[in-house]
Amino acid sequence: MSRIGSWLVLSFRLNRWEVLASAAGVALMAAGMLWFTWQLRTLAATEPMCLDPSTYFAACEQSAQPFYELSSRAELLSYLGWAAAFGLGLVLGVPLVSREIEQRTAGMAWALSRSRTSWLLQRVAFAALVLVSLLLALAIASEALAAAQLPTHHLDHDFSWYGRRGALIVVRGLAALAVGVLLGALLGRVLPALLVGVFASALMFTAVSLGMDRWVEADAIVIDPASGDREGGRYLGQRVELPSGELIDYGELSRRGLSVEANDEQGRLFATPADIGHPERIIGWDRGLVVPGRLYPQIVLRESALVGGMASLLALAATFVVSRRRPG
Amino acid sequence: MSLGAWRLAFRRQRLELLIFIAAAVLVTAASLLIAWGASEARSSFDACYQAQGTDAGCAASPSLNDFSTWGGFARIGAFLTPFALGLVLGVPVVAREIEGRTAGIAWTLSRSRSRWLIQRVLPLVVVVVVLAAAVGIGSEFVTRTNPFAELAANPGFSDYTARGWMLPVRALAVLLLAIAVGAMVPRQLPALLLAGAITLALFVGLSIGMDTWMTAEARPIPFEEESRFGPFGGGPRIFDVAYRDDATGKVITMNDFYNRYGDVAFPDDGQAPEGFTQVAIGIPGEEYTTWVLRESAILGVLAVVSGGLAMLVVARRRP
Repeated sequence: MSRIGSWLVLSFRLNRWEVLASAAGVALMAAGMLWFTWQLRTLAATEPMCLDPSTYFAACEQSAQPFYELSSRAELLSYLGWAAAFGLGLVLGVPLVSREIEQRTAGMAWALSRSRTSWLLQRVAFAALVLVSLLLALAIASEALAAAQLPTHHLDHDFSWYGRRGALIVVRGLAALAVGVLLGALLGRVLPALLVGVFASALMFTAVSLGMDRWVEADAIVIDPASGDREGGRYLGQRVELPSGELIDYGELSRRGLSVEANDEQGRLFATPADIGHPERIIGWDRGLVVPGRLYPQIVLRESALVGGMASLLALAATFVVSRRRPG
Repeated sequence: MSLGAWRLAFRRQRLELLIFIAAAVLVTAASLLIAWGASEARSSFDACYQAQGTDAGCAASPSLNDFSTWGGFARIGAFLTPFALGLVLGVPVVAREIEGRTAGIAWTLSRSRSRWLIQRVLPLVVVVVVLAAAVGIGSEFVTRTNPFAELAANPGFSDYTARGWMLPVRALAVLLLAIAVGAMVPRQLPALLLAGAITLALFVGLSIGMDTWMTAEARPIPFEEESRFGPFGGGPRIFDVAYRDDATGKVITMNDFYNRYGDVAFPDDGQAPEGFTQVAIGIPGEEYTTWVLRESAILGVLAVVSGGLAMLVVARRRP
């Protein structure tokens, strides 16, 4: 057997339960996504004009209902796809080092290898290969599902289902894998490392999401929410445009001792309903902050680079820990 | 059980226990702080509102919205607590011994395998029940001080699955189930995944079953005078909305009424059609304890069966 062949067989044997469970989970999810995609496309093909939100046909009120009901059920799978990136990354990453340490086989494995780094590289490469293959399948299936759910959207330039479809699923999975490997190497026990890994991934994801919101704020445009047309943009939140032109959020408004209790049809905000009709008492205008949909590929690339960079740093840290720690 | 046996049981899982104790203390403390803050903010808001007759300028910092959001996070933490505690502490009890090939020695050194299992499980049961109960109490306070409801006296079915004694009962059932799965699948991670899947399936089934049972026993609940927080006090569990025929007392669901009479079902003034009174179909909040007892009994049976299964597997299997 060639070197690559024996590496694949050995790596699979060491992680067969995790690999098989992950593959089974992804197969189920992808199959579910493709089934919903097929059903939604069939429904959409029968009355295509009923799914365009910019037009209204009275006859569509009943016929579009099954499409939206099915689409809402498919939503659960879409969220599962989002969670799968983190779940698979941790399940495949955590036991790579921690199980060897917990079962006291790390000493022998490391002694038999040319170096601990090359040993870790071989283990991680296999897990990454499996993870990327599985998540790619999921990313493609989720992209197809999103296209079926949103037939009138141009998803290449649209933030709908952000992070629940496409390349970000794969990149986030790789970051979770790196978190799992590092924590497994640090703690040296499978379940505690998995538990801490879940917390760490949740924290990292929250931090990245908040950071990305801040980062993309510079690219955002101010819109009038009453217009209702966000054109696939990423909504960053509600804002108030003060008469001075300053744009602040509602938290800041509250901190300044202002409270909005009424608004008129032009979206002008007032302290009390009695103030409506008195332009001099206006607090400001209701506004929304939106990143335009055309920036979708650019923002995905930015987040991928950020998360990928974090994954690389975590992998380096894991290599450092493995090269330094005691094997038991 | 001797003190040494308790100490050994804790040492076997000290890392997981430390993480869970820290997390439970954090969630409970955060819940109590949120409850206290929400209660204070609500009191000052109500006082301001009563003094002015309007809520303009009454906004507190942090606002009631903030407390509501934080309370939501605390409730999610409380809801997940029994599952995390039960699965992560339960699975390795037997699985780790077999995976690490120490089960043979451990079982030989004990007077019997059943005794060994009880000595391992009993301290965990105590820890799991205490931690889940602490989180349940914290979450109970969060629910009772919800800034946008009047639940202080009787929260009824509000946050049914994320507060009070349901948490320790659920945690105990999941713990014993996870121990049984860990005994059957002697590798920790696969056992954890399998136990998680079984737990998910069981609890989804239980939830559907309880809802079906409740629906069968649901009865008309009259709409109260529209209060500040909606037409119902006391946290009833509502399944449907219906009209009661004032003449005959017969109740017909809104859907059936619409199918029979068309748009008459929804008069423009928002009131019920003439001769009918709008009612909700559900279980009154006062019956919360009865239903929690019923669900606890089902989970108790699950726990006993799981515990028995774990004992049987440990007694029979190769180490």
